[in-house]
Amino acid sequence: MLVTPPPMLLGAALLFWGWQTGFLFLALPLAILIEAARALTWRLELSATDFHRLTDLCTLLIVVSGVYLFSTTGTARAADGPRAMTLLFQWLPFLLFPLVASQLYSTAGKVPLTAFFWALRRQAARAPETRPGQVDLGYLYFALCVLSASAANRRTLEFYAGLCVLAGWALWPWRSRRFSPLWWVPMLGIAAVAGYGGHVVLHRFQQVAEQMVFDYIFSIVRGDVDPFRVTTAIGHLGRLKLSDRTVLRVEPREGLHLPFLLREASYDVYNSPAWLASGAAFTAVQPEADGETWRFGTGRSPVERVTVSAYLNRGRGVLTLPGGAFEIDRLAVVGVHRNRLGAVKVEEGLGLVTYTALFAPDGPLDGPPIEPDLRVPPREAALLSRVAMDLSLAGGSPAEKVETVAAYFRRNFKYSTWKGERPRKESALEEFLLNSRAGHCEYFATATTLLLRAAGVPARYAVGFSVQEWSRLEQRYIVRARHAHSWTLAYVHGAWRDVDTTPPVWAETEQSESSLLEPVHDLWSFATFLFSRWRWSEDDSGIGRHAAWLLIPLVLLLVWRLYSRRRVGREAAASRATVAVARPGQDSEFYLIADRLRTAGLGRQAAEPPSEWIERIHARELGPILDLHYRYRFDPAGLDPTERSLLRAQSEAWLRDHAQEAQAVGGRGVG
Amino acid sequence: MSLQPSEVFHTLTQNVETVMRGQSGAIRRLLAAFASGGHVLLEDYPGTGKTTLAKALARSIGGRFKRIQFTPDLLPSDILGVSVFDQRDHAFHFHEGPVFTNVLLADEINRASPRTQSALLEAMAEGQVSVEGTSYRLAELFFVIATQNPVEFRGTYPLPEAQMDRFAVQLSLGYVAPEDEVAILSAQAQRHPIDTLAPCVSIDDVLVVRRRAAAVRMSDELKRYAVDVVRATRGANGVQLGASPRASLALMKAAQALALSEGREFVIPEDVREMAVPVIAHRMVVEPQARFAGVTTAGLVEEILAKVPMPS
Repeated sequence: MLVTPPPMLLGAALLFWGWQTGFLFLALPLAILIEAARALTWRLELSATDFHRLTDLCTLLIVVSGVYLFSTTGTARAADGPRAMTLLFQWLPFLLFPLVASQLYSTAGKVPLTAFFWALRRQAARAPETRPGQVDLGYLYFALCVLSASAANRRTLEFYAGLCVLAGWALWPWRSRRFSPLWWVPMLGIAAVAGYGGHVVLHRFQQVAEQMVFDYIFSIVRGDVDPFRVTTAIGHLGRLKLSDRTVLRVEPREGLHLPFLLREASYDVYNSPAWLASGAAFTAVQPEADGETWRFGTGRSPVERVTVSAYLNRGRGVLTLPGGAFEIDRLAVVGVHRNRLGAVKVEEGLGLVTYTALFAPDGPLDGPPIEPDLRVPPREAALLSRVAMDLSLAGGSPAEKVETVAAYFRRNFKYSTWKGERPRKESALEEFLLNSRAGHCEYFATATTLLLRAAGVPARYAVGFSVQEWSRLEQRYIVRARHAHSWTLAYVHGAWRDVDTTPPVWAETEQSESSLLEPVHDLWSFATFLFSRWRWSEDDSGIGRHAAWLLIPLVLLLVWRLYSRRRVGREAAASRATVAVARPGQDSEFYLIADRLRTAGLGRQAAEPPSEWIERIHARELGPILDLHYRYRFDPAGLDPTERSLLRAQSEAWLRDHAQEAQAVGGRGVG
Repeated sequence: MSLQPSEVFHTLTQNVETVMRGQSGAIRRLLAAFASGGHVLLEDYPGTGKTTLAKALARSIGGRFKRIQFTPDLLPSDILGVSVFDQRDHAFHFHEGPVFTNVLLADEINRASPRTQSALLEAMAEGQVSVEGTSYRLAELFFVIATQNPVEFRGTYPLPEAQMDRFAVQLSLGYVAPEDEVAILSAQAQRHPIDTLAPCVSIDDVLVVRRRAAAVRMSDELKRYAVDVVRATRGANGVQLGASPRASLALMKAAQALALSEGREFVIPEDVREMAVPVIAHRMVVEPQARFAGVTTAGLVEEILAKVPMPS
């Protein structure tokens, strides 16, 4: 089994841990507490059950800390902080401290193995007469401190130097006594340098290997997928509007007119039946100094604001923003990217983000119109120019044209979640404009966009959500998945305006199809939202900080339990042991010889018979001394005074001879 | 004039070694068990010299010597004796069986049925035999030396645990070194040397040695060491049945006798250690799955010896 580490080593390891992880204020008292055990004489009489409780407490501490860390930090790397797993690893020396400290302050000085294994505890309960194995946690705890210090990942030379010093310190008592420390220290130095070189080479090798594997895989998949066009996977025409699930929450605000449109993305190229975004490569947006404010340009008055809460799947997603947004506040994500068409996507955020968007009617989020914003696809060109002519859209200002088109749809069209027998020869748009005159928002938005383009007004197709439902439960606006909507952006008076030609009746139509269980879903959704908001809360005022206080009564309870144990002195424990079995002859000089040989690296193993031992180390001249020693120790009749002095004299003579011998050997400079 | 104890050991060893070559360790432990008053079981493969060793020891002692060849049809009365009706005086007379002797060689003891094997229980433990309600005392020097093949061999009945516990020591001989094997060939070229073996010690000498062995001093610390070793067998992994307190007692006596054979008046830790495997191992029962995994009782005792700190 492991043995006790040398003095001050554990304290030094703890300080090293504190220095590396930044918990120095914590490490200092812990180190003092651990090292004070050597100075104090009283000990606690802890039974196996006490150690079981302590182990269970430490396990509980680790689990609670794990839950706390995972709930506050998450499994993903949030912002630029370390992962919860890494943090937990850094905390381990602190969490396991009660167990180690109680070992040091216990009379046993070791922890029974049953504390760590349920199977052993059951076995011990079945067969109480067996003595379970015991373990000294000293060196294990030392290793844990060093490992946890490495979890801080400072990557400095100081860390490696400290590691080498501590390792050398830990190994010092175990060095071979046959060689002089003058050999040992340089050897350790060589090992340290070789270790450093090895780690650098290994790191390089890993980089090279990773690059090779990446190149290989990329060469296989490059034929099928262009990795630089993943951005086109943002929303398509034909979005289904079905679910009651709440996807967004909008905080109430003075002057918010319903329905209020929140846009995800807009598209400029129509290729029936899909809208595509052309030239929509994303560019990164740099945050302001506080890291949570993202500005797309200076807005012009009047400035309005809206606060939205949205879930991010795996920390990434597309933000829903009001038209003309020019600034987003309190958005805790690592990366924000925007494109020409006003789509904003975020990366590496928390599971739930709540942000405030500042917007003005002529906000700079959408790029100015370009040629595709006026292009009508050739397939629909004839149809649309005919309709445009019927509406006499040739003259007039853009604002008048928009009004004419809106009035046209308002008068002649009705809303329908059109279930499609497919049109025979006509395109879907032709069927909608000329025959059925009924459809859902995607038809209205597409027709409006193309009609405006035919009339010479730059227009885009926009998708997003329509804010229209007030939740009495949550006291804020909620946006369900079925509130997804599409509309038109028209460029009027130098700014993009929302033009929604879908009859307002669509909302009620959708509402009528909602599920009967909706209130239940809403309640559940609200609860989930509250939990998520607590879990992802950024300020420390949440429940998370208070959870740590729950540990205090637990720790106090433990301290009280330990303190109420009977404390005994070392002497008392020792005297009880001698009463059990008398061990005469402990003052035999043979032990001095054994000590001398042990220092020379020729020590006897615990279960090795001394006669075999002196045979093994070729010290047969000790035979007569051992015989006397044996009689002194194991013969109940003991030695008479003459023999006792003979044992002393012979032992001293041997020690004298060997002291000279050692000096002579030392003089030759070879250990 | 009687011999000194160490002389008895020396003479016996020399006498037996004229027959048994290359087995000085086994002979030393056999004599220690003999001097301690216990019975000995020799277990090994056929042809390793079990019977020869047993016969050599038996013939070296100037007393009565009987041999029973155990066979599957042997009955308890074949060992203990039987009452026979005498037609002349119209009465039953007890005819003593081979157990009424000083040295009893029970050859291949595990070839008889457990019923017959158990007939020896009372004789070995208490030195008496009860037949038809009458108890008969055995001789003061009653020493059973039994041989058996390993229990896995065909046509054998394993000895009951209680019977095993009656044997103070179980020894195995093992194969000798090639040079010793050559010497055995040479020695037996003309005739077996055991035919010319003569007794070299008297029963009185043996009884004196036994009394002196019991008087060898053993410190409490070493008694505790012996008990610690025996107790450790009870909780060892893979053990179904550990060694009994009778094992502790036998270990103490064997260690005392071994110390006496070395000419010492007190026991040292090495004595306890040397006799631990022969005294303890055969009393333990290993769990079947551990046995299939290759765990042996002797190996377990060795492990325990390596674990229990030895007084020094």
